Amino acid sequence: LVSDFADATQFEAAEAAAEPAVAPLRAVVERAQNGDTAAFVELLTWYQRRVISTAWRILGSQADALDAAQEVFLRLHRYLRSFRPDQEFSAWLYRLIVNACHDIRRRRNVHLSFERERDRGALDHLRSADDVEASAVVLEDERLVAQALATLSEKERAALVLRDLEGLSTQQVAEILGSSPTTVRSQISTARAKLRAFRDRAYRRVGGQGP
Amino acid sequence: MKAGAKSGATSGATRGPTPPTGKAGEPGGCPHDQSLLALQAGGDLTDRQSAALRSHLHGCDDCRRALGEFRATREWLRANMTPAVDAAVLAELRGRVVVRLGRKRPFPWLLAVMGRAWASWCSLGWQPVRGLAVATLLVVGALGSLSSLNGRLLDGGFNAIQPAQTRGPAAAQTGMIGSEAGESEDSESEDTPAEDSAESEPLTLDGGFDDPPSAANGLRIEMQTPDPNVRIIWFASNSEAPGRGR
Repeated sequence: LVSDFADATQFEAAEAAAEPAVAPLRAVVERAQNGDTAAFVELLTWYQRRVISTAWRILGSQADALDAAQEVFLRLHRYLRSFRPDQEFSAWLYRLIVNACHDIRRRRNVHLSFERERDRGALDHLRSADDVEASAVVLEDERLVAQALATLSEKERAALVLRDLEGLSTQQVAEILGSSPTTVRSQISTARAKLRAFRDRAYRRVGGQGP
Repeated sequence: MKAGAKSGATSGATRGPTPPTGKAGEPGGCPHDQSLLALQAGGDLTDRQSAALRSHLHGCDDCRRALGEFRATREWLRANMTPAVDAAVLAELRGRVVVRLGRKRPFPWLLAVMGRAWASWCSLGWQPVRGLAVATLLVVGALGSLSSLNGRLLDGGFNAIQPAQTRGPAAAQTGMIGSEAGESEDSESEDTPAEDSAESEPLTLDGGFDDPPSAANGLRIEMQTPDPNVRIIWFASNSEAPGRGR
């Protein structure tokens, strides 16, 4: 394991390669299942960025996302043997991500995670007021998106992230979240409606235009 | 605004055109089910639902505007939700994973048994007899693990108690990720000292002492100098031991 991780430059080169095609992926997974550390490292290299990004989108903070990603790869290492060839690896990995994020959130009792202190203040400001002075608030879209996502429930947020940001189908999202497609559609619909309302309110309050 | 994607899937979409009197879904606006518009924005409706909705949109400015807002919100989300994951973050992740994978669990079989017992406990609810049996197993397992851990620490595992102190700069420079040096660098707050100590391998003495110090008679700290042949060993003894000072 140590030697497999020794050369940091190999990661950059390997990461530059796109996500593997199905056949090589299967071969690598199979090797990793048989205890090949180099194969596990290959999986880690391929998926590390996606795992962190997804976790960050679900949890809203980079620090939490890093913890979740660490947990994902530890679980991947521990449970890889239970992965069956007829399963889709990325969907299986997404399930690990969602579960790890859920555990992190539960452990820390995080509801509003995004840049917590700073954004909470800004959100209160936006909510509190009909105050015209709010128009002086500089609209930072990323922060507003973060705040908007923070208004969603955990399940709505996970469903929305997987569907709209990760680009998975409703059926895939349902399988990952362990619920029915109808439920997922309902969650997604609610989430989009909340986001739209938040965005509308935020931009209307400051008297500006949306992007 | 109701998110009844299921219930509104057929009823709302089949309504005829309504006059544009306000904002869709709000008082005075089109009463069409907004959840369908939200789903249409992401392409989540079935073909039939989508066709019905499109026919409604032809005559309803409110809903067309609302659909445009849903689409714009979706794009707004996608454009501003791209986390920047730089190489340093990835390196940190790899380092953490390696460190954790390099660790050895002190009592894997015991943890496994306790895990199964706990899972059984959770699934049993309040069934008295089986619950009592599982509870007994849990208690015995916990006591066993504590006593074993305790015994290991007190029984000559003294070197293992000081994982961070015993490594000097040279050890950190060796790049032994995942090995003892790597483990000592992992300073996660949730890890207990006992856990760390139980997972570290005791260091050996390179010479100079006849026998390793025990837990009962002192404290030893080792530091590896940049010269691999020179190691500084600091030993504080509780008992009077002539010739074994610092």
